[in-house]
Amino acid sequence: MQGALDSADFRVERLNVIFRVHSETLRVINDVTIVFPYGKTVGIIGESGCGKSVLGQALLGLLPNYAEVKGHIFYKDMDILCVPFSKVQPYLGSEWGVIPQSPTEALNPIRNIRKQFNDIGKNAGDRFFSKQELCDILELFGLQDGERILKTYPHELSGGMLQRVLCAMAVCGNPRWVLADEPTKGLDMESSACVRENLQKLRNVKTKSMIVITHDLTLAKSLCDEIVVMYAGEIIEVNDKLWSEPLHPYTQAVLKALPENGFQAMHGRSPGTNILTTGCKFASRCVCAQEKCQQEHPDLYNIDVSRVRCFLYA
Amino acid sequence: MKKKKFNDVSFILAVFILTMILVSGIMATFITPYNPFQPDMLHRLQSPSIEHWFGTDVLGRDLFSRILFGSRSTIFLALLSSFLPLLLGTLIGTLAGYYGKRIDSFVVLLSNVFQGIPSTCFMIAIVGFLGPSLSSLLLGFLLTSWVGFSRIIRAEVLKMKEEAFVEGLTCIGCSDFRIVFFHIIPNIFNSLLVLGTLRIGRSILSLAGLSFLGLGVQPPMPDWSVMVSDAILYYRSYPHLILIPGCSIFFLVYSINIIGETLGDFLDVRIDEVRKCRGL
Repeated sequence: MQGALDSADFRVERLNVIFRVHSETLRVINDVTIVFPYGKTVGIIGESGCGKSVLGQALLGLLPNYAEVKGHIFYKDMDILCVPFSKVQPYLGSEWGVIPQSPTEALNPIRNIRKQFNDIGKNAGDRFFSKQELCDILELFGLQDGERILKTYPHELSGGMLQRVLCAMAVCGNPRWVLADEPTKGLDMESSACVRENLQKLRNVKTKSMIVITHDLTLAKSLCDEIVVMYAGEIIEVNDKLWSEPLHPYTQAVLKALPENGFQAMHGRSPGTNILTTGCKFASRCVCAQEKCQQEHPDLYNIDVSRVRCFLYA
Repeated sequence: MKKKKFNDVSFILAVFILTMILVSGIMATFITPYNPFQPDMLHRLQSPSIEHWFGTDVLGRDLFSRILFGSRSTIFLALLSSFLPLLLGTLIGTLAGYYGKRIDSFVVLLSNVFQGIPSTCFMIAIVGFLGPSLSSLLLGFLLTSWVGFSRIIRAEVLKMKEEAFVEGLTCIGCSDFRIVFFHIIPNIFNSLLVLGTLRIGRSILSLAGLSFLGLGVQPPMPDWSVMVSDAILYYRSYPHLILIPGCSIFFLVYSINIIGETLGDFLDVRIDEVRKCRGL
């Protein structure tokens, strides 16, 4: 697998991110090694605080500068973590489109939509988008009267419309990758359905290379080719058949907790990132835990094309 | 609070007054019936009459002519001495708020020092040390009043920086320069406008104070604030000497404040939204 790497893949190698807050040391990301292959939609799921969003930030080179970072993220032979930010900046907006969470707050309230599109154009190779171009992109996402929308200010549009505008903005620079960070966070069922629809449209028409960070399992299920499950700063499972054949006990438990699968909630809480454990991080909650799990830390074991961090598959 | 509109009576009145002051100042050479510098000791300290509309001052100079000519230096100085510190304060406040950390602590330290110095004394010291001139006057204003602006701007920028859209702009690769000048500053523009216009009134008064001490505008140059301080000795018997330039200052400051407030409301798109949501 390592040999057939497309240069536009995101290759994360042994990434560690540590935040030192007051006297505490938070190991937010532990030894994450993964490839996001170009042309595939990958979902990153996990509970709050498991490091999904930090991983997303790291991919874009946007980690806060108080973070202690070890490891590499390669994109086109560039190590995002080692080069200065000015080298990464040209990729933002042009190669990597971003769909932010909370659409109502993601746009400058006193600048009209047209101008904000051109803010992206400025970074995507100093392009100026013609009105027709923009209307076409907006129409793609089901906004018919593009001309009117370009003139409006963000507060004049509804949340759903803003979401579509943001999707349009993410792809207007024709990026190779689209990153969506919790696109459905804080939305009701109907709006999430709308987001799902937009992302699917984006995937069908524009680019198939997406990284979707979410804890909305319905979204991940309907959108992603491959799912990465994170738990307490680690990748514990990478699987493209997650919904039918979950491997890790954690994933199995999560799926069992879904309403359609019987609503069996898991016990316990995930360990904080400030605690250093020797064994498997999930051991304390795991129904299959053995003595070994408490003492030794499992590796990611390959099962066909999937990978799982559990001794059951060693 | 009612939102000010452009068809508001007070706004129209303010625009009218300001236009009158500006036009009469610009056209002063053609309108004035007398030479504003020419003393006429036979007709000194006259009350308003048909020959002298606003009366004459202690040297017999026509007050109406002096008011018209005086508006030039008053407005010029008031604008400069308000907007230069505003510019400096905005620059420093934005730097401190946006970049934070060491720059911020340094600026806060500096502001504390500057805010601890009594501004009038400091201004007198600067102007007295450099000698009264336009540049030393402006330097005095600049050094004493940037602090008030930079503190408020810093707080506004700190608040703005946490907005989701600023984060989003970083995600699409906007440069810091673009974020600050195209997004953050326009968003705090109405605070700037209100701060600036409110400052004009205070500048005129400080200027009057300095002129009274002989450090501001030098006689015989006509200036409203100088006229007020000149009248100090005579205003009990000849109140028009202080009332007329005083009212002029009042009308100028009033109209500028009203216009600033109305523009501030007009530019604040978000107020609209809030009103709409509350069904107002």
